[in-house]
Amino acid sequence: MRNRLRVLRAERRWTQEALADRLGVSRQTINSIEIGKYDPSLKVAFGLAQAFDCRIEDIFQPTPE
Amino acid sequence: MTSVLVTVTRTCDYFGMARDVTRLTTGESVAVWSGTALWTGGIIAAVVLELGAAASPEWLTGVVAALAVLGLMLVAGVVGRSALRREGVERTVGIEASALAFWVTVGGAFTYGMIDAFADLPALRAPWVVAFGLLSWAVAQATRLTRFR
Repeated sequence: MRNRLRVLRAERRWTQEALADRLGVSRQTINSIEIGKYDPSLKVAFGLAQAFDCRIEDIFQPTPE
Repeated sequence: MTSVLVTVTRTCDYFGMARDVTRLTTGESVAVWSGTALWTGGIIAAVVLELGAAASPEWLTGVVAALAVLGLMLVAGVVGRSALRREGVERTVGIEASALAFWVTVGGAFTYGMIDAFADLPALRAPWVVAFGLLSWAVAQATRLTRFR
C-alpha cells in the first residue's frame, strides 16, 4: 500500500508527533505508516482523512500488482 | 476512596503495562483494584490456611486459590480489553507478541512433558513456566517492534 502521508503532512508543516497526538496514536505509528511498514486500521485511516480534510483514497493507494 | 483509586490507577504505571493501555474508565479502575485485592488476598489466605491451620479442609484452600485466580483473570481481562482499544502499531505488536509467547510457552511445556514421559527429567515447576512465558513475551515484543522501525 502506497501513501502520500509524508507529503500531506509536510504541506501542512505538521510534525509526526503533532499528527500522532491529533489521532491519538503514537509517533511510531505515524512513522511506520509513512515508510509503508504498517497498514493502519480503518479507524486510523478515517482519522487521517479527517485530519487532512480529504478522502481515504487521496492518502492511500493500492500498490500495483 | 474510589476516586483516589481511579486517580492512582490512571497515573501510575500498572506493572509497567500502562504504555500500551488506554485510559481506564472508573468502572475498569475499580475492577482492576478489586481484582488485585482478590488476587493478593487470595494468595495470602491460601498460604495462611496451608501453613497455619492443620484442621482447615483442603477444599477451602482450593476455593481460596480459585478466587485468587479469578481476581487475576479479572485484572488481565480489564487491562487486556483496554489495551485492545488502543490503535496503532502497539496494538498489532501487543497482539502478535502475546499470541507468540502463549504458543511458545504452551509448546515448550508440552514438549518438556512429552520428553519427561520417557526420561527422568526434573519436575517442571510453575515458576519456571511463568519465567519462560515472561521471557518469551519480552523477546516476542522486542522482535515484533523492530519490524516497524
